[in-house]
Amino acid sequence: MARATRPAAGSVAPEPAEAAPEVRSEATRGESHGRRVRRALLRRFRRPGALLGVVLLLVLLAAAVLAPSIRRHDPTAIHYRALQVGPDAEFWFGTDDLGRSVFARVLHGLRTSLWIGAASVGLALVIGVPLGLVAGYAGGRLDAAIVRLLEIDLAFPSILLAIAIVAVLGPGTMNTVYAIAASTVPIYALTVRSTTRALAQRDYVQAARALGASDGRILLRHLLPGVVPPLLVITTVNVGSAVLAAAGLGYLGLGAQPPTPELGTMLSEARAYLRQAWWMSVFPGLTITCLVLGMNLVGDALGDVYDVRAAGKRG
Amino acid sequence: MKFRTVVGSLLACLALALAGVGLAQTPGGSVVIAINAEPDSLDPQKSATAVVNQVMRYIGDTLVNKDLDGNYIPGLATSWTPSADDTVWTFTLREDVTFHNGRPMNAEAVRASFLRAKDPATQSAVAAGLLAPVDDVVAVGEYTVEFHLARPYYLLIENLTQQALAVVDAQAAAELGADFNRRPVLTGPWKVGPWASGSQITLERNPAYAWGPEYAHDGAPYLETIVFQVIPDQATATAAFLAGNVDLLTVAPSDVEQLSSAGRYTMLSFMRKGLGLYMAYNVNKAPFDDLLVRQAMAYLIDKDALVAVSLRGLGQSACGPLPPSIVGYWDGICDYAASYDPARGLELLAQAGYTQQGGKLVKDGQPLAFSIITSSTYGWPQSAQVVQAMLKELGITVDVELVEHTTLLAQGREGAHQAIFLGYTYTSADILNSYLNSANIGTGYNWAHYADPEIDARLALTRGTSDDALRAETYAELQRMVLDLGLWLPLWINDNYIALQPRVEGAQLSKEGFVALLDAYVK
Amino acid sequence: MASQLSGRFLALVIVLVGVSLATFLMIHAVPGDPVFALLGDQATASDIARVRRDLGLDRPLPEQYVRYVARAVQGDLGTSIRTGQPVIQAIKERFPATIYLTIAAIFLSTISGLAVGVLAAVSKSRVVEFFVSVFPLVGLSLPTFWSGLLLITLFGLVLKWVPVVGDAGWRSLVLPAVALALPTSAVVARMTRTTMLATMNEEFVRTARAKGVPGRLVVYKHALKAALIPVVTVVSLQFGALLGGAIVVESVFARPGLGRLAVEAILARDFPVIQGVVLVSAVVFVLVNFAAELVYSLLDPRIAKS
Repeated sequence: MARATRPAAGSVAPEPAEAAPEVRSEATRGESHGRRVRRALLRRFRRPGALLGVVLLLVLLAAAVLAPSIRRHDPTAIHYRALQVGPDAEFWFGTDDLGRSVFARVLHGLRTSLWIGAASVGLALVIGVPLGLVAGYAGGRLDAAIVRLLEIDLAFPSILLAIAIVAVLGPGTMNTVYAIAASTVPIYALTVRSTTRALAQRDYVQAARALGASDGRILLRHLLPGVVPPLLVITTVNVGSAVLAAAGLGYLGLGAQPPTPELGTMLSEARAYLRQAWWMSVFPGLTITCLVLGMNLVGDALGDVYDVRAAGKRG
Repeated sequence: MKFRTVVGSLLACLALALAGVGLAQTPGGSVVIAINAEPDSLDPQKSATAVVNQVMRYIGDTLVNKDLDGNYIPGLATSWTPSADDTVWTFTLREDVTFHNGRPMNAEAVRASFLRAKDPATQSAVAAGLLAPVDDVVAVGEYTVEFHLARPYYLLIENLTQQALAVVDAQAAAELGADFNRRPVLTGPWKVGPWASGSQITLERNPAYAWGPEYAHDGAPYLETIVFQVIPDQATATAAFLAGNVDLLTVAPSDVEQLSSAGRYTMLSFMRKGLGLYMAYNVNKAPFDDLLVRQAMAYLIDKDALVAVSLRGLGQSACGPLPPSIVGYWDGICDYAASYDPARGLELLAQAGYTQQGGKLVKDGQPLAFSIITSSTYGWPQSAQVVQAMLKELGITVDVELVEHTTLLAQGREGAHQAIFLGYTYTSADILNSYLNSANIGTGYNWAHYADPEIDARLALTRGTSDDALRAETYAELQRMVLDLGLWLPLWINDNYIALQPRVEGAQLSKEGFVALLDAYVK
Repeated sequence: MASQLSGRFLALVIVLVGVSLATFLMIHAVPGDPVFALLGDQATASDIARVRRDLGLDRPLPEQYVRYVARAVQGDLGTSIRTGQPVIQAIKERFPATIYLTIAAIFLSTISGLAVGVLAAVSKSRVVEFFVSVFPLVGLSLPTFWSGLLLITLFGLVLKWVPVVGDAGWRSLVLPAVALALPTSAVVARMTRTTMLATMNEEFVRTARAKGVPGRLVVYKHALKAALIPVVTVVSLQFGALLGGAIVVESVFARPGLGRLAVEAILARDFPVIQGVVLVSAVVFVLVNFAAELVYSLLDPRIAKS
């Protein structure tokens, strides 16, 4: 589906929608393709929303990577003389009920949250992408069978599926990852499947097959690269939703468990002190919101460029 | 202007106070109580959840009651006497009591109620256990019943005050079947009215009620209804209380300071009847298979700091396995117990063979490390993290593992743990039997997995003897043994807080934490 | 058309069978004896034997499954371990609260999402564009349990516009519905904007513009109408997300819904109730989507072919 970029401020006539059709998710548009994508990306990411997203993500990623050298305090160290003090020069984000630096804990919580997000999305990709490739390429009964399986998975509202899985396996960080991955596999698989189906009809794939390339080679060399752009978009957005889902499980008492600092669990614990110690919930809350917001803004922008709709996302 | 406002509000207060005095004589009004979970059943013999105790006192009566200080007083029975050999207890019943459905409560009804509790078909979670030594209940007159015991059992009277043994109309239970869970027929001052699933349970005033305890006025209660509002989220419950949607709130420690300093609410507090937190070691697992290590721990952990940080000072450190709020507590235990002295603790660890290597305590190449399992009950994970930080400074590595409460108990039973963080609430010192009896290893609460015939013999003595002094001395011995053998490290006893809206007058708090509402009314 | 429909119907049946199979197997996936999971750790040997016989757990798995489905179709989902209540009755009692909440959230998110989406599509101001494109995403990025508590604090406690708990009719529905609608309205807004931008560049709209039809009218008459259809799809797809989101929202706002029932059951390891709630939610979700698909294909025959 073609779509226009936003008209620049002040211009009255809508811009012609020239960018989108050229930059579709295909790996075979000749040399000019890469350049066009780059140009479209540059143009899209110059807009304030997308720019904000990139800045947020860069800052947070840097904070997570550099956490051990930025923080002044150990995230588990207890300061008996500074129980629940507000932000000051010593403790930038204040201290929590146990006298631990909220700044240090937010930094480390960010690492845990990012790890959960990345691990669950990674696991879902590892399962979902091959399923989608095979279904889309093979077609016929195998395709129908895989699609039915995915529809069965999709039939369970995702948080409900996740808590049912946690009910069976028990709470904990790894089980949270499994639960979130299980509820997101169909999104990747179905996206990859539809892209693969479209690509499999393309001339270059047909040509490769005529030249006697094996199925495995076609899948890996010709089809897999083509599904990367839509996956990139969905993955970006879903790392954010995985972080939120993990936080929700943490709130229900079914997620990552303390003392591991995790943003959702921290926020959930700090809720009790909303009126007495706002800093305990505001900083982890803002961090989580900025992280997910950044993912969403970047995902949206990538989606515009690659023309992928992330609307089928599960909640 | 300002002066006028002050005078105006003073006058308003006066008017309200006068109205309150007038209202005190007439029934009416409603009180909303927040509870954090929906009761599974209000059939006292079937319920297995603790939240039911918060409701049951208002709808049911027991044969023996307790006054606000915890002394035994007549309930549905006016008097009770043991036989010479302590195996038959005779109870004389009140003659003016009727069930909520109007049927008279007499010896036959009491017998039927207790036999129902003992009947395996009832699948009673708690009640049957309380009646274990009772062989039979016999009606020997219109208003006289006898309890026949297999052996002398000094806990019988205490057990008969428990909410799980509130007298039910067994005939109605048989007629109503599963409906009895939500519409139980008892004898209490209120009866169960509309029950909105997952949301509210409304209790309605029982106008016939004239058999209340000594500490309350004669006759039926004033409050027309008591509404139990289910609010699972503590932060929401506090917000609901502050907004005036809830009248009575069990306050989370995190909110005590805020509600107290508001100055507008009636704050009631009582010491927990039990330990809020203890650490039990598994004596079969390294490093706690070594008595010296278990004893050293007692010197290494600063309990006062733990109370200050994880309880926000709302409690006290625990010395032995029993709190001062339970009869049987030995008042010498705090002098007897080890006090915080890291140097002494490290000395004991040195004797056990641990040496400092690069900031860690090491023995035979193995660093001193263990994991604590606990669940997310208030204060437990916080305390575990404080202990973790305290021991880290001394070169001991502690892992904290948080699991669901049922899983926690299961792991403790299996003996999969090295150390476990738990707490308890109980009415009597007999709780020690659950924790220390070797019969409870693997199946019950013997978390230390420590079997000792010396302990078992003393436990049997406390249950069988009618000699109060001997029992007290035996309990004191048991408390010392727990520390000598390093089975537990008692950590803290918390204070519980209840907040009331100022419009509720006449509520009384018992030492056991029960809020008596028989005399309560709403301004 | 008829064969299309029967094909979809067959797929529906297969999915329903799969859903029931997955729910059935859940109890067998619990490590250890399923009876132990059912009865909890207080169970005696005789209890275990009795339950095993009563539930037919001593039979081969396929036979158990057939019995399970046969009973479920008749509305028998077993009995709650915690309360002794039939599971179907517990679900019936809790279902309305969740449905009201979900419908209110769908209503709110559709209205607000459409409004923001249209604004985003037609706005010429960079500042407005920035805010309408970022703001909905903020809604999508807030953990619901936190935004819920913020709403309670602001509107229930500080402003006292609505009661924090208790049943005050629609007034008690507002805050939870807003909390639940926030993320979905962002999705609807995004969808509306995308579709409207696309439609505005289509031939008929451009023609209308060329003919001199005022811009605003073009937006309302053509683009918005065309944008509505995919929005219906998104909303029906989001129904599942809302059912799931209700779990957290109901806990925060102390609402007696299906989600709350599920959490209570999980904390008490009340497996028959967990199974029942999961099964009923999944079936409702599948049926809603099927119905949406039917309506959709009737409205726009082109869709049925794709």
